[in-house]
Amino acid sequence: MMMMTMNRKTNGLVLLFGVLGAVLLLDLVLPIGNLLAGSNWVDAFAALRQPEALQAVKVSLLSSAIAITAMTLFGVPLGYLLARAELPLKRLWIGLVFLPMVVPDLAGGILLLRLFGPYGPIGHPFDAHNVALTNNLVGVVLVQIFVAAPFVVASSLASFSGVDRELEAAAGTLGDSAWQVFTRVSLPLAWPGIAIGITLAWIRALGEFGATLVMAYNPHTLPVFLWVKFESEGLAGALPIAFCLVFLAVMAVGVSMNLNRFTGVSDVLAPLGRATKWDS
Amino acid sequence: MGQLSVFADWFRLGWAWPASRTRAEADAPNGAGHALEIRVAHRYGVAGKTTFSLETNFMVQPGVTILRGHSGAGKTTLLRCIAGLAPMENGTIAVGPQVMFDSARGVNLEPRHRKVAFVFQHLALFPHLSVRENVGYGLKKLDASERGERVNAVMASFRIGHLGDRLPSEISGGEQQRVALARALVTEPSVLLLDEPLSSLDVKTKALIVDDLRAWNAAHRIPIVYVTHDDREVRALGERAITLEHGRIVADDSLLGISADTHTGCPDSGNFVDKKFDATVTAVQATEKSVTCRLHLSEPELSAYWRHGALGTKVQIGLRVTE
Repeated sequence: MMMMTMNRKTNGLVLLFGVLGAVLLLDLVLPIGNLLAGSNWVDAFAALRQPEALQAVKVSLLSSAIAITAMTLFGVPLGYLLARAELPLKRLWIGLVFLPMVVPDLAGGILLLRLFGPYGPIGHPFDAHNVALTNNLVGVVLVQIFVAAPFVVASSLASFSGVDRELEAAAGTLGDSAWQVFTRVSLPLAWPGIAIGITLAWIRALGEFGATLVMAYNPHTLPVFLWVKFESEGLAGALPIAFCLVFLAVMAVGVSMNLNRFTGVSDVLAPLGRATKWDS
Repeated sequence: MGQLSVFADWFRLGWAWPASRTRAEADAPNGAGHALEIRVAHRYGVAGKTTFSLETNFMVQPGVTILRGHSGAGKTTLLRCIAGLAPMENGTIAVGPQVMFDSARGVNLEPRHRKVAFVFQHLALFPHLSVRENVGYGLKKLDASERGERVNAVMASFRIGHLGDRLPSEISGGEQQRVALARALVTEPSVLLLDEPLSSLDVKTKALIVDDLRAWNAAHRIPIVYVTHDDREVRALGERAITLEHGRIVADDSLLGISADTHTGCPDSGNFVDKKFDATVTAVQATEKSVTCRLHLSEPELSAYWRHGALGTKVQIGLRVTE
């Protein structure tokens, strides 16, 4: 009898949460489903063959690849330092890393323009030598790093913190230098978590719009081109580009999840890895 | 024959320890490993206030020395000081002529240069590497074929040869212990430190591993410091037990003694010896620093590690009975 009530209570809970979850899920999935279902695929691919569209895809892929490389190169070591080194004012540094995450997109663009623009403290000396930091690929990359790097640093910080210090000590007693401990133990063990951060950062960089609009309207990235198309041709013209953008982002997640499966199994990754498979 | 092997087996349960030791004897001149010299003084504190201080001074001869004490007595901290994993202010850590730490001379070797093997309480096996890669981890400087040979040999002697391709998470607790031991010992360290490595195992598994460690130790004879609070392990493994309290040594017992003076017996071995026998030294194996003794009133002969052996010496042999 007691069990029955318990079960009924549980079932009620599951039912209620299920309904709430389903409503949210609809809002999350329907736009993408509708996009896929409503697209005229032939038109979509035709639209993507336009030179401007191809150019936008190229700009987005190239800039985000450069940005991701830079973020990884500079962000992973910073995450390691914040996790392991005994730094003065450590909380402050960690707070600063997360700061760009809370700056609204357009505002971020304004801040960057003020710094890197032709009259800004950094932009001006470059401008004097006829090097522009805005309205070109450099500007696009600078924006992407500003908005997306916190994902890399945060995931590195969390992943390195999760590596058992005893393992690093063990590697030391087995003859490893600090550098060897890092490359043979710390990095491989933290990597699955860092890879998730890099994936999120890549998606963030790929989709970056507001700050890019201010800092580097040209050359058009995919999101900016999408905006331009929408302004000039409305929904019909924008749809193929939106489709392309969604497709790239989903591909990025898929590739990264599968890469992770081969680079190492980790508890950090396990729930995400399972969530991408349909069987659970 | 049967009786002899029973006795031999019996005697394998413990080693002889000289009843009195001096610094001169401590340094093995050739062959087997050097003694480990430990002088540590360090205060640990929070906000300038000393919360714990470690002050110990002792030599560890080749063989197993047990370090006992309540949790918080400083056992693990002491081990970490020896390995270079914990800071220390004053003192000396040296193995024979090899000085690893000397505050007076400003010597402080990194852990990687100390040749001190450490088996951690939770083993610290690398979860991303196979058993074979774990065992070979410390041999990166060797070329692949030599490394393979060394790894195979040590894995066979610790009975984990069949587990090479598994991950640490895919083998049992006892097997993990063996992997940790093999990984530490394959580097041919000059000191071995074990921090309660067997505490999580059942008695039977533990006994098997103790056997393997004992066999390895008989062949290599380096100073081994073994932290435990399990008295059965103390009796099964150790030649000497040092008890630590609040960072200081409060007891130093020889666990099994051969004494050349039958009149005085083995005064410092009383606690851990179950029975004593009168015996005479019948042969001396100088290179192994051991002697063969004949028990009075019986035929079997036993061999024991003892550096003072002279033919015909009347001795007492203390034996411990273990499970």
